[in-house]
Amino acid sequence: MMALLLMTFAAVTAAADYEFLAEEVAEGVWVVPGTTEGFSRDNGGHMMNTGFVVTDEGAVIVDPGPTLRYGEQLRALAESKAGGAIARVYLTHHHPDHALGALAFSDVPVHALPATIAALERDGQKLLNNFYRLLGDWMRGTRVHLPTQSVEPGQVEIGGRRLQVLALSGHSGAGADLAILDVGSRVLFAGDIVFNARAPATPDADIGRWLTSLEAVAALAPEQIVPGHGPLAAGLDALKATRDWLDWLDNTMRDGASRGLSMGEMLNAPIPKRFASWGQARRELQRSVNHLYSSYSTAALDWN
Amino acid sequence: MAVPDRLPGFVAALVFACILCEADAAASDPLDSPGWRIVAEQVLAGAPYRFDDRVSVHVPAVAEDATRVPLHVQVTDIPGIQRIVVAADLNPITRAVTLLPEHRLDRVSFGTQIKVEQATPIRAAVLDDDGLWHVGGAWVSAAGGGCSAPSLASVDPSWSERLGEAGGRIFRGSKGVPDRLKFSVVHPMDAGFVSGVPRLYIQETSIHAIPDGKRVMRMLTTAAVSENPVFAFDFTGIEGVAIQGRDNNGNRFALRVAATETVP
Repeated sequence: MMALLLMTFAAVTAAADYEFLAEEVAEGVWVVPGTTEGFSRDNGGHMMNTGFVVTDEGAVIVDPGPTLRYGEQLRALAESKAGGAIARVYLTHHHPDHALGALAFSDVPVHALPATIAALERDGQKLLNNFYRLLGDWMRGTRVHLPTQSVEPGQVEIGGRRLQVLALSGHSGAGADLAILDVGSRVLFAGDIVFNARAPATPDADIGRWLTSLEAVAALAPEQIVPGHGPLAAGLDALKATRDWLDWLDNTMRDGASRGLSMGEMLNAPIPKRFASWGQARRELQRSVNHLYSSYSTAALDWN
Repeated sequence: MAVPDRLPGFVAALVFACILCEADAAASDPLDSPGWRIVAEQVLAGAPYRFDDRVSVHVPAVAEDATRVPLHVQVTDIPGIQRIVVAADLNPITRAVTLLPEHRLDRVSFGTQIKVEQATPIRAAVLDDDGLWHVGGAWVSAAGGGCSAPSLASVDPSWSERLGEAGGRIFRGSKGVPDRLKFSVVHPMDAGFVSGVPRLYIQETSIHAIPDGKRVMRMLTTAAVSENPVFAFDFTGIEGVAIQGRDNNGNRFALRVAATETVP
């Protein structure tokens, strides 16, 4: 019994640590890779990628992660690599897995697109409550910390390092997806505009806008893309994978609507072999059906 | 004092009866739901039932949006189906839809979306000619609050302008595949659980064949059906349908749907 208690205690203690396996993908460019799972009490919500760029003024954080605890651990890691300072934080978008850790950076500027700030003001509390439900104790102390700076697209120089900020659309809302290119290394932090080997999530998606944003990203010719979810990839491979899924999703829903299928039938739509190994494929398809199928279905009816 | 004298025996008989029904339900409900008895007693009116693999309910494992949980009911090879009911055990409004076909069916394919207030089994029950219910179902996990959330329309000042707008289509099945009727109505389907938002929902819809005008089916719905409801059914041998419905405030909607092209 005692042994069981001790084991339980050990498990809980271990769970308190995200155990980052950060990787320096170019000189001074760090990625903290997450799993390709969904949110759970096992992974504490660490199923997205975050990262930071080391500059002479300190680290520039790209996404503070899902919880206060995550933000604190990311901050400690970034400070250890960047001489103890944090220059600023960027939020790629308002979704809770990327944004709720911002509270750990309440004493430094937190930058986000205006549409991201508006989305956090509107939905932040609801997203927070849902994450408490999903992640339990991992969320302890986490609150919505709104960005302090409204960011515009363009190039900025921070501590001798040039960054290019892009305002994109399609995953999180109109003008609500930010991506950052480290101009020197041509590493692109794509936020959730790019997923890799993990099915894209679509709660606020507009597939047409999203595909347009992917073209804009491709035009930058990045050498490496850090997707919002899934492994880092060279060149445009991850971007092409995302486009492939979105095209398939769009066609599948249009085809289902043209045959009069119900939303419930669409839940079981066959998933092509090339996506079978992707994390969360069935789950995200089912979520996407809920998010998007109504508009296809409605458009396929004749209205009086 | 004759009644009190007899009461203990009466109570004992009741307790005994309940132990029997409890044991029966607990042993047989494949979804092991604490709410099954409510469905059996209230929705199936205490009539005999059996759990039957020929009745399947497709729902997502997790409800992405508790105000709009997609479901599709598939029933095969049960002769003499005269009624189909969709219900959620643990919803405050248990029964969502009742389908009353005018002709006995032996198969059903029906889809819609409903609200769930919490994680719950969603059941489909079909009543055959012998008065036996055949029951299938599946659990859906949910964050909850679907029934007690206000409709989107209730915060949109212009909702009443579109109330009752309807759209539909008959999708011709290819060889061996039945035709599919799908229609949707703009309606808030408010459950009345939100302060200041009265209950307002479509209660009854009739579907008549074109051109002969004969009624094919009636459908009874509750406020457990999602806002702007969508209904999809399989049909065979119908050129077109005239659909008429009304809500609990007497608002009416009507729609004519003619079969169009064959889908390749």
